[in-house]
Amino acid sequence: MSDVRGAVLSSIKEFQKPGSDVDPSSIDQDQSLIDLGVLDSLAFVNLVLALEVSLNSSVSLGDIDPFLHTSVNGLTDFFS
Amino acid sequence: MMSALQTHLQQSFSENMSRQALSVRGHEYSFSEICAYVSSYQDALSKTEISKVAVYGDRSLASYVGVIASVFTGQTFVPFNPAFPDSQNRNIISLSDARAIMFDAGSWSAIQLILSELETVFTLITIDDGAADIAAIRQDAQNAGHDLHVLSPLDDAKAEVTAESSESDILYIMYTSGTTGTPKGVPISHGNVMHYINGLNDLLDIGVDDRFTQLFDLTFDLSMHDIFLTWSVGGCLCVPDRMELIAPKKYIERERITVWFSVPSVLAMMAKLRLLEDGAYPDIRYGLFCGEALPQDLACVWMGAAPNAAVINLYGPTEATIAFTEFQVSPKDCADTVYKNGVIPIGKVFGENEACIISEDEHIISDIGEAGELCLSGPQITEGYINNPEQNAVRFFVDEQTKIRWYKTGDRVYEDNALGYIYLGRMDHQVKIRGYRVELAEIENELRAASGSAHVAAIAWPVDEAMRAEAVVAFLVAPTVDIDAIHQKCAENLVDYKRPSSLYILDALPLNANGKVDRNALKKYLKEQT
Repeated sequence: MSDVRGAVLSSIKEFQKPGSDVDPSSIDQDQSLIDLGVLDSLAFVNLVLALEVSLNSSVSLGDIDPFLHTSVNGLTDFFS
Repeated sequence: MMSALQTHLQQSFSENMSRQALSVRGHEYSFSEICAYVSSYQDALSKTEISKVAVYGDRSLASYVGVIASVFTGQTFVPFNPAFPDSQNRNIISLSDARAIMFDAGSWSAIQLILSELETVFTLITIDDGAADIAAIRQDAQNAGHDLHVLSPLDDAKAEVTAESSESDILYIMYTSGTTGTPKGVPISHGNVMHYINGLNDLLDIGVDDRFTQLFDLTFDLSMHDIFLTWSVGGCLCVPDRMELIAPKKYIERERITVWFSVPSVLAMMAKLRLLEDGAYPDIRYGLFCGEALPQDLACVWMGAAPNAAVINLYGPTEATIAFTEFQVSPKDCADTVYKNGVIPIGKVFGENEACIISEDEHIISDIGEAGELCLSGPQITEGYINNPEQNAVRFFVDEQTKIRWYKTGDRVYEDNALGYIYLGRMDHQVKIRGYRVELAEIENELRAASGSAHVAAIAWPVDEAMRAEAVVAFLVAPTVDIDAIHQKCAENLVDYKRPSSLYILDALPLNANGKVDRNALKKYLKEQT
């Protein structure tokens, strides 16, 4: 779980929107990264795809729920 | 006499009062319930002389009531957008001269911020969704000198037009990206929209049992297709939450969507997330695409995912009311034919519209196959930009021989006898980023202001084979510059899809033989960098 969280946090840093320079561990871990303005929707999709590869994940991306899985905690749960 | 659009919509509402009209934020509303709010709106404004209403596109009941109430009350509506910077929304409200604002009560703090720097006193209209503190909003509004009306649905309401509009009366004004940073106002009349709706209804076999997507922001004129086409046939308009736009599979299933309308970029995103598996959406009967070039491979994938859907590629600029040409893609053609640049043709004009191609010296080209600028004429063309004689002179011309007035789209095409028009790209530096129309000059203006450098260039990048761009990359000649500060400035003043994703500092901008910035050299530079 902590490995997944670490991967999520570092990927968010990599994919965050131009001009946004937040520390992902310091933001509300339950709030949508898109609502917080850290990612736009395209960056979110690219982040999910990158996490899938880096975590060698077997999750079905078709099951991603934009209400549940766009926060740090949501992404961590999804890929755990 | 009522406009044909008012007559048509009044009839459609009256005939379908008990049917579902709108699904938004987890609630379904019948045509009767929508009329109940429209009647309350008409009551509230009956003693005012308001002719223009700014409608906040926050995907709420209020947004859609605001639009249809404007039609039935003979007013012009002007959409503005929660995703826009406050300065841009203020600009839209000021330029349009709207004196009323329609919004969802839950968006009050955002509205308050937008209005805070405007000196106008507004009539505010809202719907109480039960979650907002109406007493506090009333107090705030009163303190700022505004007049607040809270709509309550009226019993036994009918679909009633309380002020008649003519065919040439303006129904809505869309503000599009302008070269100087000041948006261009495109007024669209009742007649313009009615001709579009008639043209589409001739093409499609749709009716009261259909459930339509509403994916576009209210400030994108393709949303007008969603609203007016749906309600012209008594169908249900299904509005996803902003978050659902990222992965709309559950939305499609939950809402039992039968008519899909999006920019191809949404498909590209769905394909990336593997949401377009074969047979995933058997209930969809139509897949309509517009707003940017439709890549053939994506259209084929979509046809696999929605095997019972007719796929139609629509094309049209805001100035020509939503869409102007259509091309129906068949699965066989998709598999067997290789279209130019791997992009689905934009096809032939529909309805009573006309199109032609002109050469660089503005002569109409009669040779099939010769490329030039696509021009449009007919009853869907706007009367011209508001208070903008320079742009009207540039974008519109009258053919001396035929006396036909043409709109120059800025799109480069050629005509094929069988396929109709084939899209080749933009004539100028206006580009599409993720489906949104963007003037690169506007971004360059912002970069100049933010950096203090006169030497800047913005490039749409990366651009795929289908000529869709994901983002904007910018170049600056500025020996000492704070890149973070420039990003910050852009974030404050530009909507997200216009903000440069990367900034490159160069010693000098490459110039071509005409002394203009050599954009091809910049693209080559970017290619080498990647």
